[in-house]
Amino acid sequence: MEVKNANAAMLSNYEVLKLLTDLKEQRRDAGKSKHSTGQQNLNTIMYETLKYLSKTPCSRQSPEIVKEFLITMMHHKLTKAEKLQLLNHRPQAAVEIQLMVEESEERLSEEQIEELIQKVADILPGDPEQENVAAADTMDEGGEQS
Amino acid sequence: MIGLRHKIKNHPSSPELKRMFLNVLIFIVNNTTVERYSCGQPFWFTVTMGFFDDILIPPESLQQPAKFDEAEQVWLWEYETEEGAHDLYMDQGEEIRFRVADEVFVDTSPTGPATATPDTPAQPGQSTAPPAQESGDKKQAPYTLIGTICESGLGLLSWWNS
Repeated sequence: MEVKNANAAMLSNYEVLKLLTDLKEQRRDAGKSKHSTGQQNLNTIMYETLKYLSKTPCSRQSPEIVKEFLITMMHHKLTKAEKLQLLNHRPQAAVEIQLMVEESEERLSEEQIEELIQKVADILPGDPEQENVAAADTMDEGGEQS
Repeated sequence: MIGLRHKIKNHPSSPELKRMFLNVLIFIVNNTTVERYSCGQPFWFTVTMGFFDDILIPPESLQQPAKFDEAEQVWLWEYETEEGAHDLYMDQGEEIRFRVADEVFVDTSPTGPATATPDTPAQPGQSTAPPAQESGDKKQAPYTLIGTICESGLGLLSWWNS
């Protein structure tokens, strides 16, 4: 086997999740697989990867969300790889943005970093469990007045 | 940062080729669990993603200064504060954020009867290879990631979450 084109494209976690999910359906529909070691290895790796991805932000994304995100990011002058990072990891803090955007101190002001964090939080769905915990904490803090 | 490679065209089913499949998924890696192999050497810090285990962080790429605590069998970061050094332990099972620094491909296809060390194809910017296996029986992983946490924001998530 030879590599025809390395770096042919970058896939987001969401695309990989979709690809694996479709592949899983196909294999299921195709009936019983041969259960050779190769098939089992592939099944294992698919299952484990799907399990990992289902706990990341991409499990709550859709093509429409990804499109909206990319359109919003257009004027920030980020590279493709940087936008991919933001999409896959949904950073919530400035330190995370600094890890994903190269030379962020020179390219982005504090306000722009805050703006990015806000947009990411608005467009990309977060973990409902995490958000419930955060909401409950806020209510506890405010809460004695009711 | 390492970008994605090899868009999948076909779906191979042989165990050898499943590594190619993995290449699509091993791109910029973040947020993973920390696990030390029970038979692991104390000099390498190992990380697992659940679906991929061959991730190593060499001691020089840990947050510095780093120290291995022999008693606890755990790596730690000697974090300097005004009050002196504060030991931040890197316990097993903790989630960490790391950056992929390099990747190592090793040709593990069977060689002839004469024993030969696996060929590591020379790649530009390749860093130190993973430690040599002690027993001849243990297979070398065909694909290993070398990581680093020696940057602001990397390492245990609990270190950076306010």
